[in-house]
Amino acid sequence: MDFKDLFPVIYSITWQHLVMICIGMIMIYLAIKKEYEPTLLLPMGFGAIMVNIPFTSAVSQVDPETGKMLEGALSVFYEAGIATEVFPLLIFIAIGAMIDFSPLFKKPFLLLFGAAAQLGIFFTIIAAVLLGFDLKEAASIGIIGAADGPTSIFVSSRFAPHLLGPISVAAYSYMALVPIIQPPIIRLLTSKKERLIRMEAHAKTVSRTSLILFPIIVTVIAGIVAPSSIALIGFLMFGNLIRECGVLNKLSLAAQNELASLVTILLGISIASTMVAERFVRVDTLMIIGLGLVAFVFDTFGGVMFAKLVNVFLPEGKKINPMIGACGISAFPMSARVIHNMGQKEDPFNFLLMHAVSANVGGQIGSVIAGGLILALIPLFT
Amino acid sequence: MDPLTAALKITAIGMTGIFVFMFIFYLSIRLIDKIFPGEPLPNDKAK
Repeated sequence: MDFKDLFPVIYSITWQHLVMICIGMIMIYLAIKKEYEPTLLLPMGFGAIMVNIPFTSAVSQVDPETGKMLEGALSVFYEAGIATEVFPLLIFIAIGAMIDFSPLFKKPFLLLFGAAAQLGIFFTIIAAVLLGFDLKEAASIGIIGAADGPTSIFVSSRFAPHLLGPISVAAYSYMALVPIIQPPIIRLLTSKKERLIRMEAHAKTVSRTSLILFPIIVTVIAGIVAPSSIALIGFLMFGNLIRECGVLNKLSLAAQNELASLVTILLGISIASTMVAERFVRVDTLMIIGLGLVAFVFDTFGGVMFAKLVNVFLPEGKKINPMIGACGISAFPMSARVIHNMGQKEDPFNFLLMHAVSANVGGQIGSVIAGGLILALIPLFT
Repeated sequence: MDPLTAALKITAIGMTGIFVFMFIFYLSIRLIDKIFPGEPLPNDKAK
C-alpha cells in the first residue's frame, strides 16, 4: 500500500476544488466578519467546503469499485427539500408571519412602487438571453432581481436547478449589499431638491378585520389570475394570516423563530450540494454574478424613475420623494433603512421611514407576484 | 419563437401583469379599509 492509496483525496484534488473551498471560506468570512446575510451565507459556505473535498460522503456519488450509488446527506436534503420546493415554501410561511402589512394600509398607493422596482428582473432576462442563456436559465437569473432569496430559489429550482448555487449566492450577496448598491444609483438619478422632498405622514390604525382579509383576498386574486403562482403567494399569505388572526400567537412565533431558523439551516446547506466545482467554477457563474448586479441596479432605476414620473402629475406639496421608489425592491427592511438614512443625511428633519417601509412591503408582495408571473409565463414561451 | 422575442414579450406581459396585480391589491386595500376602517390616532382626533 503506498501513500496514494492512503490519502487518495490529496491526489484527486484539483484547482477547481481549491477555488471552491476558497469561495466557501470567503462566504464564511463575509457572514461572520461583515454580517452579510449570515444565516444563509454561513451554511452555504460551509457546505461548499464539504462538497468540494474529493470522495466526499456529503453528496451522492457512484462508488468507483462497485458502481453503486452512494447516497450523500446533502443530496438527500436537496432532493427532499429543494427539488420538491418544500424548503422555500416553508420559508415563505415564516416570512409571511414576520411581515406587517399595516404600513400599506396607511399609504396604499406606495404599493405600486413594488411593481416598478421589479424592472431589473425583466431587464436581466433580456440581458441573459443576449448573453446566450436559454429562456429558462435567463428567467432564473433574472429573478435574482426579486431581491428575495426564497423566490429566487423557488423559480430557479423549477427552471434551472443546475444554476441554483450561483443564483443563490448572487441573490443573498446583493441583498446584503443593498446599502452599497442603491445610494450611488439614487444620487445619480435624483437632484438634491428631489431628495429633500418631505412627505406627509398618515397616522391611523388599521382594523384587525382588514389585516385578516388582506392575505385571503391577495391569495384569491393571485390564484384566479395566475394559478401557478398560488404556492408562492399562498404560503406567504398563509404565514401572514397566522400572524394576523390573533388566535394562533404560538404558531406565529414558532413560524417566525423556530421554523425560520430550522429551514434556513437546511436550505443553506442543501443549496451548497449544488456548489460542486465542476458546476460552479465556470464562466457562466461569473456572468450570473454580474447579471445579478445588473438586476439590482435596474430595480433601483425602475423604482426611482417611476416616482419621478408620478411626480409629474402630482401637485406641489403632494410630491413623492423619488428615493422612496428604490424601496420597491424586496430587500426588507434593509432598503427602507437605507433610504431613510439617505433622507436624513440630506435633511435631518425629513422622516421618510414610514413611507419607505410601505414601499418596501409593497416590494415584498411585488417580488412574489413577479416570481409567480414568471412561473406562469415561461412555459408559454418554451 | 426566438429567445429574444420571447424575452421581450415576457418583459412586456410581466411588467404589465405586476402593475395590474398591484393596482387590484391597491383597490382591495382601499375597499377593505373603507368597509372596516381603523381608528384614527388621538392626535388626528384632536384635529
